[in-house]
Amino acid sequence: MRLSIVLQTIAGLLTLLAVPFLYVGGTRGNALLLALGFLLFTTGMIIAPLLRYIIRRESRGPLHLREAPLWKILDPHYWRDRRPQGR
Amino acid sequence: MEIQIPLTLIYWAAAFLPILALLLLLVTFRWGAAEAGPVAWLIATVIALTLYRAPFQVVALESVKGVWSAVFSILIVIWPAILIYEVTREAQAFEPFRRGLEQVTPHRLLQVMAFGWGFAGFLQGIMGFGVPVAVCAPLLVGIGVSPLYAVVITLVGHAWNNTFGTLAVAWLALKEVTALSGAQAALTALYAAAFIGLFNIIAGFLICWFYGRGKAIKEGLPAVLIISLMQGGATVALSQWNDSLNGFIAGIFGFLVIFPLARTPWYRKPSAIAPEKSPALASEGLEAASLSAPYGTEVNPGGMGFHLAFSPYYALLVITFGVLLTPLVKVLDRFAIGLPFPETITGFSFTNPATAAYSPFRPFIHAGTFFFLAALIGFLIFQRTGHIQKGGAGRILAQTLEKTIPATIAMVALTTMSVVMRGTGQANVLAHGVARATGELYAFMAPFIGVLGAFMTGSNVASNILFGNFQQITAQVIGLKEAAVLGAQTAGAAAGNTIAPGKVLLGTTTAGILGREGDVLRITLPVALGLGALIGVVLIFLA
Repeated sequence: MRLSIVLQTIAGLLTLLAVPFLYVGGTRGNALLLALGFLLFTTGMIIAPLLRYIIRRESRGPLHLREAPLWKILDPHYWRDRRPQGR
Repeated sequence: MEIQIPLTLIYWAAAFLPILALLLLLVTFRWGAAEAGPVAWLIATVIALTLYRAPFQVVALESVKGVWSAVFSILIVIWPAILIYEVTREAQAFEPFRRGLEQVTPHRLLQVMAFGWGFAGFLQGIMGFGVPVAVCAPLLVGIGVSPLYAVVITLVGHAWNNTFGTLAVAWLALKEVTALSGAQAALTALYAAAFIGLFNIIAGFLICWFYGRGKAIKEGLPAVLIISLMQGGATVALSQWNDSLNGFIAGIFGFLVIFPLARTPWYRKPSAIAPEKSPALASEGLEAASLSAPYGTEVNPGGMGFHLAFSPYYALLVITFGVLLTPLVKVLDRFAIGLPFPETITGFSFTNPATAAYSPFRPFIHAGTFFFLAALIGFLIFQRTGHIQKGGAGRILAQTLEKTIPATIAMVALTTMSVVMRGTGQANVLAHGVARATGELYAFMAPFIGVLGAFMTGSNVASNILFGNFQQITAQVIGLKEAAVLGAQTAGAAAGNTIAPGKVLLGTTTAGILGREGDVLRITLPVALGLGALIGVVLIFLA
């Protein structure tokens, strides 16, 4: 599975995880739960556009996160071979 | 308590900002909905918390409502719709399906109209929830239409039946929120049906235009007139007879008439437009036909016939008819799950009433359940007949997962954005601002309010609930014909379904072009706005 999909899965899970906090915090007026819920929800939501920004920035160089499978990205050799020159 | 949100340009512009940002990111910067949606959500949330004085509690609970609606109204259809597509693709069933259709008619334009207009309208008549888009877009891809045009054609071809389709739930919602008397309801239904009839015939011509510009319009003219007479004409005639079955019957007429049409001299022969000359069947489409083969395998349908290839969709129709059109629906309808929400009030006294069960999910009569069962039945049939090889289940699940995750994020973001905007008064300010700014010319803008509602909520029903009462009061205040304005509201909302991000996303996901939502909107946005303008011009003379 590609890294972008893995990260998007995590983002989706974070967003869904925030729902019980937002609901309980909202119905019971619990500020702590609300704050935690918002933090999780916003983090989950913002990952996808952030990922796009990172992919775009990286794709200017030789590294293409979107195309790389996860097992390759976890392999240090993959990064060594693709280290940008002259940066 | 009176709502105190100031109706000024600043408040209006702030409410419009999330929509503008969404459209710009999708259409101009060509972002995917999974990236543009969260940004638009963030803007709407910040505006709600600051300018619209919504406490965190209101935004939190509206966000939960948004996630609930996204998951149990839309994603519950998207997930199994992708599954059914992947099952069909793994079994390499699209190629025999295309060959089978060629036997009905060799005329490629009529084939496209059959799926993108006739069948899509028929499915909208019984199911809705984006099912026509989820089913017909990949079917069009399967017969060689480019994925982009497959989505566009299905969006344009199904939307006319949004008001009276799905057992007229959108129409009933409009009647409910406006408390129309019997005579007024009949008159409103007539106006709505007339506008929808107009929309319908234009949809037919647009499909021809997409297929092969002027030459295709000339070729498709008899089919457009006859199919539209069946769909639009039946909608007008039935509007005075039966609310619930109107869209269903019109959808059936429109689909069935294609079979005798295929035997006429016009469509017994192949289209004179060469496939390579058709924008809808451009090289992308010819490549897309190979989508019917799973990755890394050769196209070898192994003697699969049309009916076997279509078996998941037959299963879908049988399950749907077996549940929705029999007394069984009354028993299964009783099982519903929905979260209770307390009343919430913003700093401007904008109130969201308490609800015992918000948007209840009825698992046994929901289209998503039917889709899932159909996918399962299709898988078992293909496996039994040897068309799904070892490891097929794993490949299907992996492909489904890869497609569903970005769609899930996009859908959650878009729905939450619209619910937050609705629940903090931003949607109201948008509509009231348009009414105040246009004054006497409000008639022209009335359908655009319907379009806006459908764009924001992805639903004709929700648009009518959101703005139905507002349109009625505005018409009364300005002195316009209430029935005509309400007819334009719901017809505009139907047209708005062609640009609703949720529907677009459903199409791009199932057609395999996720991330190209902006490209789809580039084509459907002028269509929706053009339809709104046309209905608006007609309304100026009628109202």
